[in-house]
Amino acid sequence: MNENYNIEPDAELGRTTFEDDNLLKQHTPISKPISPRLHARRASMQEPTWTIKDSFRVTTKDVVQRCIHTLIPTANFFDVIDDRPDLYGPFWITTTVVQALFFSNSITDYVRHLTGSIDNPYSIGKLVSATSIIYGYTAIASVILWGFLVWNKCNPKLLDCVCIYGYANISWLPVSLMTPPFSLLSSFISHIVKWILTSVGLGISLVFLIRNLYPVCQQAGTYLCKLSIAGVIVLHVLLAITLQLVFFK
Amino acid sequence: MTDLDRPNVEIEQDEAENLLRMDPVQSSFDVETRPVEPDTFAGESVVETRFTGGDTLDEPIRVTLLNEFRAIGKKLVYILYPKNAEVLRDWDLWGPLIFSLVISICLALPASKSDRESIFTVVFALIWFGEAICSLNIKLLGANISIFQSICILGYSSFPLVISSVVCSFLDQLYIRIPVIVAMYAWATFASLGVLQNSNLVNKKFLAAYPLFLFYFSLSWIIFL
Repeated sequence: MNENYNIEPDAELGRTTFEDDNLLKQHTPISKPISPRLHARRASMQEPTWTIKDSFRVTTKDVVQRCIHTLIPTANFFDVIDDRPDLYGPFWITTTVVQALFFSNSITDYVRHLTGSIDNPYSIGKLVSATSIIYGYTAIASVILWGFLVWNKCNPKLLDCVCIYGYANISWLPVSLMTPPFSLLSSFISHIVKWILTSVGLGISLVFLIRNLYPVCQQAGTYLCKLSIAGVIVLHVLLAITLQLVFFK
Repeated sequence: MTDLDRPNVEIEQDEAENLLRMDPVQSSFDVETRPVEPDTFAGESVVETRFTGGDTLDEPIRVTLLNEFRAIGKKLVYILYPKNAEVLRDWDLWGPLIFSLVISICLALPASKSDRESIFTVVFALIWFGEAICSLNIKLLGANISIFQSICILGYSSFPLVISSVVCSFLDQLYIRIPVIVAMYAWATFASLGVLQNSNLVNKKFLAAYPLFLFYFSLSWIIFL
């Protein structure tokens, strides 16, 4: 049935019957079912409604690939996203970072409590502050970036900005998991090692952010581009210093 | 003997039996030996059998409470030994509420006076918001399970954490706490993976299961501390 749809110019030589053509013109059914992606595109061309469910159409392989491309920023992240920004990655990576920060902070406090140096084994306030700092930073910074780009007529998608900042948080995960042994040693060298760890995490996420935001910001003009990149760097350095002082002491 | 947990099907069967009795041709059939069709309603199979209103408003409170406890007990037995998946279809949130209260109280009592309120609040909020977000996540990834049903399953699967929190609030030795917590965490996660059983998530099984791991891990970690 499929051959009747792709009619080549010199197919008259190959055609045996003409009645099939009339039958074809009378009823135009679509024999094979439309793939859901094509159907979604057609639907979106007709009615541009977007639900949150659209931002969860990723598979496990997609998310893992995006995480790897965040940590090793060789390819352009927007190509990796392939015009399908998702909300799953940013949200759950941010949640994992919150839990990891609380985990690392509380395990050092617990061991110190066991050896008798401090009184209470953990403070639940650290979990609350981790939640507010990381969620707040990701949400506010991405909205500020999006607002800045919209103000300069770059037409970004909010979901892309949230995606970038959300996936950039993944660099704090190894930093927070490697800090507890150095916190427990509590010598001058371990202090310096902790600062080095934090700056490595800061460096990885900054490289990822700048490499992907630079082409986007260039559309705004050179002066504004430099301003926006400087703003991104300053905010991220502030975040790193806050995390170091609150959690990695 | 009426089974008050399944009154929908009961009413359907009564009406069908009445109609059969009135029909002269079919009234000769013996009604009791007709095969009972569970869980069908007009030819379609019922996904949830949540009973909403009706006859139970007239019965005494004692009977209602007894029935609720019986329902909770049935689901607990399922969590302990997952054989019959039909039990989880009529969801209720009593069990999760009781478990979350017990966990929060057991974690708040041993702490110092200034921390008690904040620990109770944070743990209670973590349990309910965590369950809601995990269920929302599963729903958004495309599973055809209702949100309340998955909250129910996640809540009942946190029963092992109840055991571990009660144990850990009384015993302080590390070599008892660590194995108990690890075993209970594994059991809770394994039981909650049943929420993904009948859903049609093709490539996203790990994406849907990972938040469950994270949620129970954070709860177990706070219990350990």
